[in-house]
Amino acid sequence: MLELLKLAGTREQGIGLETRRRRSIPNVQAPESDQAGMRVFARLLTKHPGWVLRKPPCGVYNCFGHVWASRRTAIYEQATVEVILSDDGYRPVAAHEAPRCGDLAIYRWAGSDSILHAGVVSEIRGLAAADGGPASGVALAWVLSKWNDTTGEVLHHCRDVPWPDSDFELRFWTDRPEAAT
Amino acid sequence: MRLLTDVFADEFLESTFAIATPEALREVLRVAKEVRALRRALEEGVLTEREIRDGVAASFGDFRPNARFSAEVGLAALAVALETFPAPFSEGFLADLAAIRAREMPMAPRVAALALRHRHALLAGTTFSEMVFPPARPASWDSGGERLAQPVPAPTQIDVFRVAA
Repeated sequence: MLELLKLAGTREQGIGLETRRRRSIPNVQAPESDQAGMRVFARLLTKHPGWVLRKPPCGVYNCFGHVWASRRTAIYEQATVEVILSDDGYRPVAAHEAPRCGDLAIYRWAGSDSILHAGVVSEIRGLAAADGGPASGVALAWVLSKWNDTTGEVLHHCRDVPWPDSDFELRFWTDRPEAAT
Repeated sequence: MRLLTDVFADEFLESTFAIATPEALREVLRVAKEVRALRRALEEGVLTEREIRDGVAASFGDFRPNARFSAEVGLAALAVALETFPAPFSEGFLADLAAIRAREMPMAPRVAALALRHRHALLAGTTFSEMVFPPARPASWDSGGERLAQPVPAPTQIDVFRVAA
């Protein structure tokens, strides 16, 4: 039944990639999108008018490849991501800290450890007051994301994401030393 | 069959579009209404092996070498639906899908491998006495033939796969 895919599919190929502790990072360079992927990404852009498109759709890398492989390749397995977080010295941003540019936004499926997505905190924006006056003092992280291995890159408010609010949990991670309380 | 068409449609692709790991995709698919509908149809004998084969074959029309095969999410959905279905066809489908390593479809084979692992763990953790199979299994599951005239009678005891699902 799946013989066509076995015969016609192109062999997965990756590049040499390791963590800081020199553990190999399995990866695959992704192909360009098909028509279905382009349609769906276009629909998402329409549904999220607050997204700022930094780069049009492209293949090669996914969100993890964007974050940890300089856009050179795609990384898929959760176990690999966990190894990178550990080997490269990442830690969750503590409750008394605020995320900073360069930190990571890691999204997990609500109530589980499964990772949905990772993006890079690229801006910290003040939230305007309700009456349109000066900023209320609340700062919000804006994240640069590539949603999968075919989409473009978008800058978005950290909670303006493709999943319902109840379906995900967001935690920021950093490689900075922890600040004193 | 509409249930199969649903998991290969743009709307379903959109609901799973921004999920980067096969682990998360499997968890999302397990609770997706489309996959639950597939599982129910399998259990009730409404969805046959022949229809699955035809639906999978139809999805290949969009496959192009060296281009991302977005319809693979439908294959991943089938894998999750079949994960807990006690038929030889399920095991074969999961194993065949898990064995594929094509850059056009990186996620479905990895989801199938996870499904297979969970399926085997479920079986390993269950004694024979706890396994209760439906009293009549559709002949179509072995022969790829036509749908039964009557639906499969509901089991009188809970079988391990139904509990797992």
